[in-house]
Amino acid sequence: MSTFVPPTFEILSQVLEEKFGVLRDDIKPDTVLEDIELDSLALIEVALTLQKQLGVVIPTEDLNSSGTVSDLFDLVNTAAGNA
Amino acid sequence: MTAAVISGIGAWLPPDVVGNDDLAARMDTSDEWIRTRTGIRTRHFVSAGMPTSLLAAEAGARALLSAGTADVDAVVLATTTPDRPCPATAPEVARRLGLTGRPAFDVSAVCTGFLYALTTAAGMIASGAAEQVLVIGAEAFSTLIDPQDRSSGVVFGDGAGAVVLRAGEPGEPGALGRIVLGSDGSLADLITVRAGGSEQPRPHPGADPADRYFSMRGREVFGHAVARMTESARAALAHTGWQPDDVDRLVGHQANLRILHAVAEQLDLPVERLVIHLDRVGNTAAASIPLALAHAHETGDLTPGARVVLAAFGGGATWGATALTWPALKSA
Repeated sequence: MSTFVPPTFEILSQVLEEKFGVLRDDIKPDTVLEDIELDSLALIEVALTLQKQLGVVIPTEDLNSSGTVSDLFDLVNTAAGNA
Repeated sequence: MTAAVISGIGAWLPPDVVGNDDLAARMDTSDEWIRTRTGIRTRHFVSAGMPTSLLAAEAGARALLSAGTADVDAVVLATTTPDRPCPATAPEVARRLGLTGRPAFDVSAVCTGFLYALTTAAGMIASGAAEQVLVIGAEAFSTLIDPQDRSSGVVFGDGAGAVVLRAGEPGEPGALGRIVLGSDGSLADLITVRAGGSEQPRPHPGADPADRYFSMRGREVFGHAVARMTESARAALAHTGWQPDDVDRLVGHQANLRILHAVAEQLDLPVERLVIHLDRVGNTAAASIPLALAHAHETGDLTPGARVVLAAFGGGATWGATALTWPALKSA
């Protein structure tokens, strides 16, 4: 039985773009989150929005604004079961 | 089954208004930082000689006027900042209102305190112990804040709000639906004043002097608050049989604009249906929900027949929610 694999990077990019006004060009794996003005509260908001869209629990205590888009993506991906 | 029905509402704020720029003048912060992080523009602070009982009595008197009664069978006060560690503050509030002799007691559940107090009062009405109860949320929260704390120092404010509950019929306008409550003591450190209680009557030698002041781990609170307020609101709605889309106004505990927006998102509720009062008064802990209700009632944001959900999360941790149809009330 195959499991549906959600397009997490696209969903993550959409949330960052639509909800937080981050430009697509800035959403690169090595972009540091605080450089695109995602502070600790914003990261929790991102996690909550993704949790609702993907129906998974993202461990917000592991989020850090000194991390990168890639770190955030890995966290979302692991939570979504795509690891 | 007898229901508890809201029959009057009132609020009072101490006159001293403190803007973000006033705070920026005395600590390292800015109007822009406070607004983008919290949504707060102003808050009211008590002055010396203005204890919680005074705020509570001012709001309580207005709620009694709105209900058209001078007498109630009990006074229940939700507060985190009693006049003294002992005794409770509610008897003094009752005295100030000419209600000496009536049962009066405090309920302590920090920012969920008003919902806990409503539950207690509704229980007194359901059991026949009271026909009418004055329920007040009042805080002089600024008295707990470290003047040097630029995170909590900009968030909190002082004030009081009150409702009169009377015995009535389930489902009539103003009748409180099931009040869903919860707690988790393992989260006690998230929102706390460490010293001053029996665990640490005075700060331990060598302890952080800040232990005598309020502290909050804001980022962790954010996640728990959104999850618990959303879950409680859903549970309260399930008891009434309403869908989230049936809700005209969500009156969430006014802690942070971004928390309220996140709760609305989780519930698929347009942000226009949020009652927002924190921009004017900050986080007033147990006073926040009745203050927001009174303001929305006064300004016409809340009209008779509106389907309303109340939801809160606070220290303890504690949380809760209920739903009701807003009644026609007189303004005090």
